[in-house]
Amino acid sequence: MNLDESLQIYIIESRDLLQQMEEALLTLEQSPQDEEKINAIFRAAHTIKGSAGLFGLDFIISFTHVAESVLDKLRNGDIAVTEELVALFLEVGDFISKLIDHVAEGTTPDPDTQAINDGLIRRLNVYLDDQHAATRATSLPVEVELANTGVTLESLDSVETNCWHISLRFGPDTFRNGMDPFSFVRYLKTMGNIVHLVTITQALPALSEMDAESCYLGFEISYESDASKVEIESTFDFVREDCEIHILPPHDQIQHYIALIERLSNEEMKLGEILVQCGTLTPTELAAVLEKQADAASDLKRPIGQTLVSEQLVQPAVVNAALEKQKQVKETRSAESNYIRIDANKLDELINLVGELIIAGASATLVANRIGDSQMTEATSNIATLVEQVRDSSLALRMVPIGGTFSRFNRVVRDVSKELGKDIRLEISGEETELDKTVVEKISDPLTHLVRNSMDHGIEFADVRVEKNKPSYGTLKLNAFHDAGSIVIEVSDDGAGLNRDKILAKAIDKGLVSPEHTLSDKEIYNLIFEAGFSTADAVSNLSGRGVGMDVVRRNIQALRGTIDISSTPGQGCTMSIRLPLTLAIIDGFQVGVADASYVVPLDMVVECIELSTADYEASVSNQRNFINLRGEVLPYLKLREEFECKGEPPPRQNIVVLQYANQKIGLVVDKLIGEFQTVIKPLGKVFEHVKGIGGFTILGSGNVALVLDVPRMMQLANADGNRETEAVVNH
Amino acid sequence: MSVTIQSNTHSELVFTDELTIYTAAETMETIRPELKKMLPIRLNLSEVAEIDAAGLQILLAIKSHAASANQELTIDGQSDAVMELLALGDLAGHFGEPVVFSAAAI
Repeated sequence: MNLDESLQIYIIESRDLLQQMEEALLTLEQSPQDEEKINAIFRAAHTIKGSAGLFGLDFIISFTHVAESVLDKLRNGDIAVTEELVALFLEVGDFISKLIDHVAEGTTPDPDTQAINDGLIRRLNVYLDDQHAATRATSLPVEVELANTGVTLESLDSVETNCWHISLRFGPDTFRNGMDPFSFVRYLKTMGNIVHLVTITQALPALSEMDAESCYLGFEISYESDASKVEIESTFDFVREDCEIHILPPHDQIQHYIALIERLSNEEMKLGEILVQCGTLTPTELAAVLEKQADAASDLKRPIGQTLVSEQLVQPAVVNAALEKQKQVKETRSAESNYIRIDANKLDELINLVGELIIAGASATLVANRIGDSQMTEATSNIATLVEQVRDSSLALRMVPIGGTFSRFNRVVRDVSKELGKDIRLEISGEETELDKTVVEKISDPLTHLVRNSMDHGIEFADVRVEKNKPSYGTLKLNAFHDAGSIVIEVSDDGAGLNRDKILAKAIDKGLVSPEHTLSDKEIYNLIFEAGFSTADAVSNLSGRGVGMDVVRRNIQALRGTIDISSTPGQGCTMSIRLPLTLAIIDGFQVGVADASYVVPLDMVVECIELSTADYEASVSNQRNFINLRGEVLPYLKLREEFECKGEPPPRQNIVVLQYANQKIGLVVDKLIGEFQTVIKPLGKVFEHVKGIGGFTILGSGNVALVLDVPRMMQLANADGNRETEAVVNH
Repeated sequence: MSVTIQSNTHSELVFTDELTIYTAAETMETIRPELKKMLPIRLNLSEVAEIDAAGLQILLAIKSHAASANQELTIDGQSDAVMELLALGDLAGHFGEPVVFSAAAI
């Protein structure tokens, strides 16, 4: 890999790290004690600085170094998390991002950037010079859950909580080796305070069997001391060989060890290593336990954590913390290593090929059916199934969860609410909902506009809200979910809702509607999508200029989606954006009108029914284009008429009932042909303005079928319906 | 060294000087035959100048022997060295002597 490529990777990874840093900072603002977030921020800055060194990016190194020093102090508890520190680091993150931009463009910082650089460094240095009091609370919320090991709680009762528990069983040759058990007791007393001692005499045999020169004694000691475990252990250096020694650290050291474990770096370590690193286990103890494990028969082998606890070498809570750390490191690592970077173009190529494969497969199936050979038919059927699976897998490659886009809004909401002086909270749900990568990128701008609108126009100021018996803080919700082959994204607020009368007045003012028109509430709300429309009294930096909503709608329509408004005055407003899940390949339902074939998305097909002769004649004579579908009114379009096909309809026609976003519509066709999957190919620019057609596809037979854009057709049908009603009303 | 005073009603064991690893084996040999008689036992520890864990083991063995033979064990006097060791090993109560030592003295 050459330098250029690695630099590109550095840039992408740095942006990722900055994103992580921002998210961690925002969380830290709400919970200032979160050690994990502090560490994450430090690691992000540290990595960016370190890798910058590889490329000789001096201006990044020197700036990030100062930031890293302050973060180091934060990590050690020398300075505390404050609101202004978080705000400063959000600015720091933005600035580093700017520096990365310079790297990407290949430019060096200009005087303006330099000025910002110096300003930020000055503010960072304040934290380095001042001895900010270490006011960080030292008590961490530790949930101590004892692992279910063989050690019962009762046996630990003898442990006073602040004491080490030392368990000693002297070997028979202790005296012969010139040692006296009590000398150890006396030595321990020089290093600390023996709170309680029990002499264990159970091993002493009967008088007749006893060997006066063998040692049968043991001790159980509760010991208070500031010494480290290694120091205490070294007391017994001379008897370690044939004595059993268990040193269990005090209860109140648990928090200390757990904190140390969490601080450990993110390399993968074995459980024993983690425990030794935090000081609750000595290297000697670990070696002994491992040796024992190695000797144990294979069916008696136990996990080392269990052994350590039952041997009373480590507190169960600390073992738990170490296991958690192991798991967390593994998860981070596996999450990192499970992704591969690929060129988006290669992916597009793959999907194109899959599309061709589908078409080729379809024609093979046709031929097989015509030949009528059952083995051939079965073979092509198998191929068709596999092709379908390949199709699904390759489309899934392009899917990304929307959570990434949503979480970026944390920053937006925070900044805008500060700017407006309103307290607004963001709630996110449905982050796992997946959608096509290109859609994710294009939906970001419209969403931002909707969010800003809600915050600026929708949510009222705190005092107004309290008057209305609402909580003083406003809530903005972002939600996403799948529904019948589409993804729905909702932006809702609990603000004042849309002002129907104001909108209507403005519309009349602008000449968009005539005063005599009666419009439903929904239609009035949809007026805000008209170009140049704004009911804002004051144009703010954010919105109100009237160039927003129509662009939003156009962008969404360009993605073959729709946007819908639902609003309740005084309570709030919800914008629903509906987008197709995939732009490329669909499951389709083929219908025939005259000699031509058309395809509708299978997801939208609800049912197919016959158009009775009576209804058909009624439609011709009364211009009544709807039927009674089990008590429901179902409007329909006659494709033959819409597309001006030549010839007469057959005696029996069918209606395909389609549903999209709670609206039902029927399409009258001659033939119902069947399901099949197909690649949608876009129509050329020449046909861009044809309404109602979303693309075309090539059938197995080689013929072209047009793919219908059902949502647009529905809109047209509604418009038609309105015109008809008008015509009726005005006559 | 230990001295046994012959008697038919009880075994009286007087330990003097060292009751340590150095004298342990010899001491055991001396007292075994006496203890085999299974008589009530009186221990005099007031002249024990030095005692260590090995010596303590002997005392413990005597006590448990008395218990299993269902015989009474009485201790007549403890020297300072004995008291100190018993306190260190928290065994003062074990030998039935109501020794008043507060925890701080340990």
